[in-house]
Amino acid sequence: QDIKNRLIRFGYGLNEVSNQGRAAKVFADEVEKASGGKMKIRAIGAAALGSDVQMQQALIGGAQEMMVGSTATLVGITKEMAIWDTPFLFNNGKEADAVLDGPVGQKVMDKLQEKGLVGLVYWENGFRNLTNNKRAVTKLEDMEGIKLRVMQNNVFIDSFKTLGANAVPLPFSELFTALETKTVDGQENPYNTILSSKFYEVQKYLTVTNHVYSPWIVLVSKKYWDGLSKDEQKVLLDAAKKSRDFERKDTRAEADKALADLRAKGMQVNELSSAEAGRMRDKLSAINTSIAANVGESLWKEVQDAVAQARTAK
Amino acid sequence: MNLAKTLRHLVEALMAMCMTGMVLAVFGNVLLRYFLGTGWVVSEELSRLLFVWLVCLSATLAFGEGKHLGFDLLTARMSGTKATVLRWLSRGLIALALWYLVRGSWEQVLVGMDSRSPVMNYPLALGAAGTLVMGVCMAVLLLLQSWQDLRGDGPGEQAAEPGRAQP
Amino acid sequence: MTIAIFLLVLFATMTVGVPIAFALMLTALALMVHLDFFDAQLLAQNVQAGFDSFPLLAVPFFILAGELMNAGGLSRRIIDLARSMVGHIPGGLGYVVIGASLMLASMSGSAIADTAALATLLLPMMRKQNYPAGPSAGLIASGGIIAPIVPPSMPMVIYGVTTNTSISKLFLAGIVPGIIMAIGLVLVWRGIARGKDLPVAEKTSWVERRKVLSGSAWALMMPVIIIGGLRFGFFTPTEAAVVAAMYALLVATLIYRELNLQRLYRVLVDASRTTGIVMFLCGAATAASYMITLADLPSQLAQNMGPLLQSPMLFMAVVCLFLLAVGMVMDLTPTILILAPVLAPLAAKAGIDPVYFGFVFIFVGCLGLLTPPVGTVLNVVAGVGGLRMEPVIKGVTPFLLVYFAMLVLLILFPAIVLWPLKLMF
Ligand code: NA
Ligand code: NA
Repeated sequence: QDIKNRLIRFGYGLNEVSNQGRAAKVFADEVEKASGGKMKIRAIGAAALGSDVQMQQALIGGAQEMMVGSTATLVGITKEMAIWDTPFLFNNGKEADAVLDGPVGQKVMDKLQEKGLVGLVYWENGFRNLTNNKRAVTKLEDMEGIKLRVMQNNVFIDSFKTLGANAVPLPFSELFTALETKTVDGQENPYNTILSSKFYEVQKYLTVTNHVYSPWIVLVSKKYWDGLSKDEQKVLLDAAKKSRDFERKDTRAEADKALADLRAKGMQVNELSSAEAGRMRDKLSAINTSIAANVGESLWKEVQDAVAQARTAK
Repeated sequence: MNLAKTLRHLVEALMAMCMTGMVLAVFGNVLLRYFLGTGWVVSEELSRLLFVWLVCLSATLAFGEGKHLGFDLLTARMSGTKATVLRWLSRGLIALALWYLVRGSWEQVLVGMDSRSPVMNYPLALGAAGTLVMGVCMAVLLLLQSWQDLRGDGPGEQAAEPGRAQP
Repeated sequence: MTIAIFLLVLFATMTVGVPIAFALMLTALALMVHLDFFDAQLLAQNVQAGFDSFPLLAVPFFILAGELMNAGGLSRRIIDLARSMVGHIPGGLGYVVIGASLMLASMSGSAIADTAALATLLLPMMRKQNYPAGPSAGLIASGGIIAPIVPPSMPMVIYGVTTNTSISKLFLAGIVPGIIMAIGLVLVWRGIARGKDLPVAEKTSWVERRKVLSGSAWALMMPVIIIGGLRFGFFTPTEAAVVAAMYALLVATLIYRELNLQRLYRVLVDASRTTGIVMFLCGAATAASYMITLADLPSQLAQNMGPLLQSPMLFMAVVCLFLLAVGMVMDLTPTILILAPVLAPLAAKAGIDPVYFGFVFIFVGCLGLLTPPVGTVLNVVAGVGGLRMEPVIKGVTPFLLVYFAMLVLLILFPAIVLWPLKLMF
């Protein structure tokens, strides 16, 4: 086997004790095992190697070897990544897995190569869900007038405006205070984040909307990747796949537990009916049209077909 | 050195513009949130970009004026040959740091040509260009200082610093 | 080994006269070579990342607010107010300094700006009335360092960003200790003024006082906006800073009418220049702290500190002594930038409350502004007053001693910081 001694810096944004940190550890262990201890992963969390954007630029320039981060921040590099920001694209994790791990997911990932990044696998951040202090959101009309913190990203801002909410873009670091002081009424994030950020202390209603699926993506610097032997590349890819399977299981288990915890902490939880989700999806057709135009009609169609196939394949 | 004066005025004007822009971007967002219940998406990204350039420009100006914080406990006690040696050693070390700063910034400018910011969609190279311009300008100022020192204009660093004649 | 390289390169380059910012960049480069991760891009990227930050925007905005207050007549009115209230007491100008320090501190975040304003306006007055030069200058310097303790505070913003500590909480933690500092100064000044036959000013009539008060009322609204806005969450610290700057601008131009366009332009340029110096340092320090993180320096240190980490109080005492020694020769901002990323994780390991630790760190760092040989605030007072350093150093000593006593109390009773904070949240 053609494997050299290598030290790989693997940066991520959350803490060591998060689902991201646990999966990074699994990846590191798998690489070490498969390479006979020759390839070592130095996993560095808590954004100590910089923000997602900073790490991306370092990977492209060859100054850092690996990272895992949000696909949404990659839109500035590869516009096709915006496809995963589509609201109500997937109904459940199974559909997401099938599409992301399938040929079209790979195709989007491969678009990164011309920009100096190699995508290995998608991890799961989770379905985003809505919390607020005004009312339990059971139908489309309930969104009206809720002052909602959204990510600083045009698609999300436009989507929630279309649904009738007052979309207020705020950095995540300022979100808790903004909720506590009622600067905004609500926010939307995966269960794990809602729990770990203690939003239940300042939010009353939790609506299971599953309105967007947020993937993470494991990246390698292409400059670095091209210098690796086939065997070394295989070690990284295989370990990444193992970490992915672990990460999704771990994240989903954590999400289920988080939802139960949030209930126990006193949040009023309700589920958005699939009919109402459908109405929201219809209302967002203009957003979808613009996403389709941005990523290219053919890719849009491919993804929709893949989703349909995954849906019928159960 | 009328050119130096004009350049300084130009840099100062740019600094004042960046500062004004930052104030307007952040304050505008506060006003919008309180009076219209909505935010200005561009606010954070714009103010940060202006901030980067403000810092790069004013750090360069401060470099020319010799205003960056330093230790002079040892150097102030030295005179004659020892002082000269220390001065050149220090310049050499600054030059080394600037060389890598410029090289790294240049590579990041190239990388950033193809990457866009999430909201305003500006090329990220615009941010890296800030430290590139800063590094290059500081290097030019350092060369100027060294040359004036070699020519023997006044006693060493003090008089040789361009932009000293602050009103 | 890593620690040795870090310290050696940093101090060797600083000693030969390389400005601290460049010394930090060279340290980062040396650590990259040592860790075998050399890439110039990491230097450039992290220097930029050091100031490409929204929370740090509070720094230029607070600097701007302070400059606007000084240029627009707000600071002067605050000092006039203090004079009309306590100027008539024996040694009254000293109490004026203390009262004005505390009020200015609640509007400005920089010790240097406040000290400059106090020294410019009050030191000549004290000299004319035969107040002893040394103690007067020492009192002004000691009053000046309340500025970064009471919110808003530039050093707290920088500390909060470098160590991921809540800036709002750090801000609110400073209110009570700031008042204690002022009380300490009053006690010492009473002792100094008692023995001397200082001229007594005529008591200001209440009519006059009311006039001065209503004139300064606009300026006095500033702390209400800043502290109220933070406590009730109307603004983030960055927004509070920009609101403070806009408010000072409006009061200076529309109400006091003391700021024309030309002066405003100068203020913008001067505030930018100060920002550039502080933030360039921040950038360079970020490059160094990136490498510190990669080298895992805090863990290495922790392994060698075993027993110290078992006793939080002992840990605090040792850290404070160390910071006092560093503060003698290094300015506050670089002290925060270089040492906070190393010491804050250690404090966390020792089980110390991060806000308490951050506050004490900054308090000790501020004392360094008053200690020779490198005492920036001393330099400002001596420079503005045209005094030699020796009498100023001698004059500041009794006040410094009372601050040391306060530091001992802070270490023995962390509740002084933590208890009011708990009440506020
Ligand atoms: Na203050
Ligand atoms: Na000192």
